[in-house]
Amino acid sequence: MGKEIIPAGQSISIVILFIIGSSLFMGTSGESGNSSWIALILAVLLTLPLMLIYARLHVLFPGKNLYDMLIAVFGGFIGRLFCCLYIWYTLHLGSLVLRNYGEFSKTVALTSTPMLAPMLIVGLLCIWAVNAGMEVVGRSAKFLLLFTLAVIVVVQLLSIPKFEYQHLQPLLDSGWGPVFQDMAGTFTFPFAEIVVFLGAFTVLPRKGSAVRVLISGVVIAGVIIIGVSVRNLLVLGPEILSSLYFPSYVAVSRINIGDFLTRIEGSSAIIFVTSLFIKVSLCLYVACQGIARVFKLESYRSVVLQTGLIMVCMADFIYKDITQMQYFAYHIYKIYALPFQVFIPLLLWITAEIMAHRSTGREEDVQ
Amino acid sequence: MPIVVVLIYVFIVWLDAYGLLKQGKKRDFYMCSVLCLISFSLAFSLAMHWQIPSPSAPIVRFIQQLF
Repeated sequence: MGKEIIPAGQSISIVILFIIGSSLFMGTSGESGNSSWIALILAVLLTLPLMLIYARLHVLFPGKNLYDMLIAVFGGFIGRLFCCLYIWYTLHLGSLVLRNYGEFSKTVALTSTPMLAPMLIVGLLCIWAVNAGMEVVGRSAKFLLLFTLAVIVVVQLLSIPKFEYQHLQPLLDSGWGPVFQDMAGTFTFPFAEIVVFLGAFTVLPRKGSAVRVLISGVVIAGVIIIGVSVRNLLVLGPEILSSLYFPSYVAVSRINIGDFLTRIEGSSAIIFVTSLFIKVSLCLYVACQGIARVFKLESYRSVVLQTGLIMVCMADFIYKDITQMQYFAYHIYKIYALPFQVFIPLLLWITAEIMAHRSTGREEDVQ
Repeated sequence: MPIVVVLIYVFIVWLDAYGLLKQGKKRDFYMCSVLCLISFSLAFSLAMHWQIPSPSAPIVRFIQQLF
């Protein structure tokens, strides 16, 4: 099989759909009430320097993915240990996203269907896409992004008659504390989750393109999430918003155009499925790449089916119920994910810069 | 349900793991077999409605102890 390369446009689509994945329907961390949009803006701003670090890693190690970088910098043993941590993280993240979809189906859409059924269907689709290669995921992402954007814009316009602007006031009612808490929560879920894309850096076309892909991806995804969050806030108000598991679904269900265009929330749920398909596919691809790299396999495709099945099974028993899922997503995840998203990449970047500086110095000495 | 799971996994082993062995990818075959065993154990346990400990529980406990 030849080397997989996907154009920057498709990579940006993957990044956008990956970030908006579960947060479109689950919403983001909501301690700050009607000031949550400030927390979102701050989280996007906080993510940008991190994206520059990730992009710098691509410049320092062109054509290498996260696992290659870890092994090259930390050596065989410690590097592989870090690789195992990332394999676990991507596998776990994929399961969490599948479970979000399972809970969504169980709670609002397919209440009598066992939770495993919709998760298995999406899981098998992701296994098929990853087995077909990242080009397929990239092309799917480009098409699905256009569809997702069209649905979001139409729903946004149809929601305007339901907007109640007094929900935005009083601004910063509970002070800056909850805003900063929400900023930390939103930074780790969903923005900094894009660390997973480092595992697919080999598919990027040329040296330096990662900056464009990551920065534009995060900014566009940030604008979409802020737009959807503000819409939910204006339609539902901060009190109702914080009490719901899937606020977007309820906000869209309020749309009623002349008693003719009603109950369109089912249609809008399609975008949840499309974005989580890309998110789970990327998690599965990166987990398989890691397994292939750590155990020196000929191809990552050899383990896609089994890893995907483990991911689906794990999604079934990872939480007891939706309350536990919500608690993990908004309270535990922001601390649990921090080493994977910030500390290890930061350590990798600093060590790689020192190594690059030393090798440049050595070359100058030889000359 | 457990019988269905066993039958499905017989098909999966024939399709996936045995396919790798026929292609001569021994290392890939061993890895695939190990993962297949793990996924089968999980799927069979779920089919039998056995209680599987959640990996989230120790993570939650650890983080609650930290903060």
